[in-house]
Amino acid sequence: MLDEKRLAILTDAAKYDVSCSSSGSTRSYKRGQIGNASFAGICHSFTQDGRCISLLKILLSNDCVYDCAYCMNRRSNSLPRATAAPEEICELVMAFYRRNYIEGLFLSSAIVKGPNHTMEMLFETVRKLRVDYKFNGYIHVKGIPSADKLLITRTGALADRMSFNIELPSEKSLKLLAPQKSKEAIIEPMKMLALDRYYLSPAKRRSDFLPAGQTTQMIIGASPESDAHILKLTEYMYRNYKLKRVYYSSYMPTNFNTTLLPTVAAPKLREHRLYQADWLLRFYGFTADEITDTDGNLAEEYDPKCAWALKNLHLFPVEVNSAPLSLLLRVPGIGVRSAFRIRSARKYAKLGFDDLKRMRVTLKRAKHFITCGGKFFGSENENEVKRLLIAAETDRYTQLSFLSGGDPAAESALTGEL
Amino acid sequence: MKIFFIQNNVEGLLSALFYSFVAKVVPDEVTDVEIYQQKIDDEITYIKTDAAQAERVQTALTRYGGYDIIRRLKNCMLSCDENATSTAFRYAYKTLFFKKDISGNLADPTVAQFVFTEQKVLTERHHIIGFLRFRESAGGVIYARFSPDNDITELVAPHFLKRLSGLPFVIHDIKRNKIAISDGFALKFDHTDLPAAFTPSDDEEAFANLWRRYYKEINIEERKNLKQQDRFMPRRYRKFMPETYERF
Ligand code: SF4
Repeated sequence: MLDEKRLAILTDAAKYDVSCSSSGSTRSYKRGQIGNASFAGICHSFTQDGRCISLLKILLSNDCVYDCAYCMNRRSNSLPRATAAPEEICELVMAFYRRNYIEGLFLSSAIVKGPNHTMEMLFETVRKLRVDYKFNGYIHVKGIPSADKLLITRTGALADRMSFNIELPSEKSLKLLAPQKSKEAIIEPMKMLALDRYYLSPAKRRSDFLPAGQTTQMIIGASPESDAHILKLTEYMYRNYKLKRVYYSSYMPTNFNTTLLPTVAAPKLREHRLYQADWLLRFYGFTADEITDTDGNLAEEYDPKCAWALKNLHLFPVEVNSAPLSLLLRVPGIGVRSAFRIRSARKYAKLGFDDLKRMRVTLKRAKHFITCGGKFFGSENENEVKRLLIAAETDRYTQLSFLSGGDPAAESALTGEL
Repeated sequence: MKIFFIQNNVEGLLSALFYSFVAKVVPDEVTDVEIYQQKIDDEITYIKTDAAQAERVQTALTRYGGYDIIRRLKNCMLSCDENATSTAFRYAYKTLFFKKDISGNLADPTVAQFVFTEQKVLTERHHIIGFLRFRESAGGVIYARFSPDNDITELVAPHFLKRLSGLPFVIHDIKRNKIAISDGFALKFDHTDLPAAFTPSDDEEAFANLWRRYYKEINIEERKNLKQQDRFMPRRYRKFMPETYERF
């Protein structure tokens, strides 16, 4: 059995990884096996920092031969090291899964000895779980850059999701801060898995190869790239590598002794705004160009949808009884759920302002951008609208204690909903 | 007030609908005999559950209200909201009256109340599916206690039957003394007045402790946000979870 001490070390090393969700995979029950996966994802607990625990998020080892400047586990940092045997991880996963503590495993590792050795250990753990333990629950494996292609594909055939972390938003920063990694070593396996997934999945059936697809993660604020740059990169990866999700993780200075990195943490609000913008890209039909200025950052005072609407006031107000869904989705304050509610309810009768309230559509921000049966309830004055939007935003954040030391990204990483 | 007393299950509700349309009486409230506090000027009708009538109403409802309307009415009736039965009745009545699927018409108060009542039940189900905790007994059966707001044992148990295929388990609603028992292949629901006699397996405490340690370790102390934790994991569920309660 894995002892508490090693568990603590291997967990501690994994905890800043933000991609914890277990969603996007449907594994149905198989006779003689234990486990399934639900498409929507299930949170099994919430830690005191407000983040969801869905998976056992753990490193096989934190004993790294690389020396990435931003990482606690880098070779030149002195801290306790530990390694777990594949068998020990399997035992823990099964025990936790049976008790309904977790939805599955998120397995990652530092580079032990070299990329191939590490990838082999990861593969062996997953193989053992699937074959020997007949585990049919959710498994997410972090891919190791520069590892053998065949090993990566074989792991992909057993896992629900894999992720190669892009780490930093530009090649230049990567070279500077993670000298042993290269852009190609990260991008090539992503491309390969996207193709594998395409060719190895029988037509029209849900994918058996990485059913939950690929994700990636990058560190925000350790290097100088702008939000516009980051979002364009994100958009590019969604389109070209068919990623399911891009995660952002705010840079936090730990005990680093380097002049390469800033000494202050990246503001949480920035990460939060990026998640909101990401949500707009994925679900609301926005493009990166629409929500950012050519090379700027996202507005801090209000969310990116409000910012976009304020720049495009000539499109508003829209009439809720006739506006197409795609336009409803662009109204600040109206989320996916509300937009769908409006679309289905207006088939029965013309909707007024009170009807929207009854349907639990939040109108605090939306009222400045819509009409109900021709009637307008918002403010006509642009500056007044701006002031009210900022006030609404501040309200929301004090309510959620975002600005009082909380972690806005915890919520937005969970839903990202806007 | 006109009150219908029914047997609190979906056949009871369907029988009440049948009676209502045949006798042309629309009740102000529909309720379960056990919970209702009678008032002086109440005019009470006892509805007898009738399988044949219920089936006719079910056919009509499914035709007009969509294939899942019966399931949704059931979900709504599992709610702890004291008006849940009336809410379900009004929604079904309206569906039959207009002879169409009204589920999307959230601007209608009857529909909104129904949809939001059902949604609360399903939200709790979703919570519990994540938060329920099993302990392994010496005999190998795993056992979970909980105390949900809504009567959701029957909505929760099938999820675990699928997931833990082959593994026998017991889920125990200690508030209502309801249990779901699985032998690994099929479910049985029952009532029990007995507290479960439970002897943990040898490893049980060790794994619970590993989990507690994991829970502590994965937390990022500098980002403490108890408000958000409360919002996503209501405190009332925590006494059944090893990571938040030493003796759960
Ligand atoms: S390879 Fe991974 S674990 Fe090793 S130093 Fe770089 S980021 Fe850290």
